[in-house]
Amino acid sequence: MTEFRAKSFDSLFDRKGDLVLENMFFEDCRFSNCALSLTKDASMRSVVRHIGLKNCSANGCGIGPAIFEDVDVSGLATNDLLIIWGALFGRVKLSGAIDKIKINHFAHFSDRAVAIQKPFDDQRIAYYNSIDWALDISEARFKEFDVRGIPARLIRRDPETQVVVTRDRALKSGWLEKLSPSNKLWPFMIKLFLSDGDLDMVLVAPLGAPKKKRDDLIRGLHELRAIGVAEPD
Amino acid sequence: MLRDDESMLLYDDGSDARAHRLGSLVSGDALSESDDSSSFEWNWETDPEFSKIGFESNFVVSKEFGFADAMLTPWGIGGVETLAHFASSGFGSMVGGALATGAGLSVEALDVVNRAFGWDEYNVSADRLVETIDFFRDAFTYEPRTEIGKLMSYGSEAYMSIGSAPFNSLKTGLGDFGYEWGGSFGPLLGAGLYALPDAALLYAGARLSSPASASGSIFDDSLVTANAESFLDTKVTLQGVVDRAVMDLQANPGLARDLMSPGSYQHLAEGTRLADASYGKAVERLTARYIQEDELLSGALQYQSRPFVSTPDFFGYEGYNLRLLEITTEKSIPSHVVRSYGSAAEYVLHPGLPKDLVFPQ
Repeated sequence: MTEFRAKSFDSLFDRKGDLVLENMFFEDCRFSNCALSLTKDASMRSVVRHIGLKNCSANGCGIGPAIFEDVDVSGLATNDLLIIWGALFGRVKLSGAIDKIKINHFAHFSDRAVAIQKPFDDQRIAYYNSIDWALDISEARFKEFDVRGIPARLIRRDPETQVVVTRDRALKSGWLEKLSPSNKLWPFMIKLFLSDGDLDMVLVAPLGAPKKKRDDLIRGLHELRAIGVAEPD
Repeated sequence: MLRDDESMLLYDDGSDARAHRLGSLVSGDALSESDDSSSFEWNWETDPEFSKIGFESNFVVSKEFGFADAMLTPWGIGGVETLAHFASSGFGSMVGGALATGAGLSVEALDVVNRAFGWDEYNVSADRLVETIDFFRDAFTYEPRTEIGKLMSYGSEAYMSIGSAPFNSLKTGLGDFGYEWGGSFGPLLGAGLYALPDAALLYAGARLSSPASASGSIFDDSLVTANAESFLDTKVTLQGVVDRAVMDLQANPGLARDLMSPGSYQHLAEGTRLADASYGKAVERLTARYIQEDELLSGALQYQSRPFVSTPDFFGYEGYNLRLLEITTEKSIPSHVVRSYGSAAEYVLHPGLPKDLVFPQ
């Protein structure tokens, strides 16, 4: 395994895809203005395998529809929301202080043509039917985290602060009226989830957020569970 | 390997060496040795570079020139102003940081923050924490009043925001070269070469703070490389990409959802008072994606968004020119101008959140 410590990687772009990065470990490294797997071709996904990152930072970086397998990220600082587009995750663990991450199921940020997106969707469904777990976020303290496109059963989580909402439960009537007025974000996210048509979703409290915001959101999750919208675990 | 403390010898080894270095860096022609080799005279008035930025007094430097004297020169005052600029900025950030953090912990601190901004609703989102820190940092920051102070402060800021790692590598490489190949003059040559990139940045600072550089370009046109004509006009280019992003969002407002956190999208979808800011962020991030996807554009434009650091949205690279580019609306320009880099930034405009745009939920 090749190890990199306290290195800076600037302006590295993988635009064609079909790149394989494997057996590397990065510690205290900084990635600036880099991009991985910026492809619109589902057959050209780059692969990131057997990679470890410890206390690294990603500034101004973008991640396209890559395949991440056996990746361990412990501590990650981001300058802005790190958006991951249409990637596949197999045994990827995020732990420690992780700043702001958003995982989208769309492969491209603006091109939503069926001819582009469908091959990625087909691969995603097939891939997630073939693995035992995709993502482990149970020990991560995010500032923000939002994920779409990964079945909840494949996400290892902390049941106290990371809850599952299924479509069946969310479609039951009457729960919205039972919520306290301060519980605003979660019902909004459930509303979006219902309009998306997904079967389930994971709501993640941002443990790395300021205390008041964090505590309010954790209380909100517990409330969802208490009134039966979130899975009891 | 040239150590930092070796390069510092140039500064500490007598005030004449320092003045000589600074003078020769900025305008070698203006520095003339007198008959007495132990002293020389530097005439600020006849120096075209410094007369342009308004210096009036003559400045005589000799070997007897002491620290206290140096402090009373424009450079000394500028240095003190620069220290005050960074120290006050740091203090303001600490105050803002403490209040921003406190806002997440106590109602009292949240109240202070809310009153400072005129906010009347509970919200301690990350964006607001950043705004809090920016606000207090800007409020506390001492802005230099002398031209040299501005030169040193803003030049240093530009230097730091460019990213110090490549420059440090360059400095070290040059220093090593001079040290190893300079023979008996190795230490002196090494120190001189090590300081050269800083000299260029000081010069850049002078250009940045002079009225002649209102375009926001750090380096003067005369320093642009021979093939500069072949480079993009980064402001015009960025404007084109921003226009495209605006059109995309107009055609498909749902794109915004995938570009921001659910909390920020909620502001947009529900039309809260933070909707305009969220829309601006969507425009900015979509623009950044288009640029990242394109080889030519990503070579010329670099997204800089950094919470807790006051920085323009994009750097535009045109040969050796660096342009500071900020995406905003016309009505928001005044609030951007007061930022530390505001007077050097150029503004790329978008029309703001359209009233009739509906974001799906």
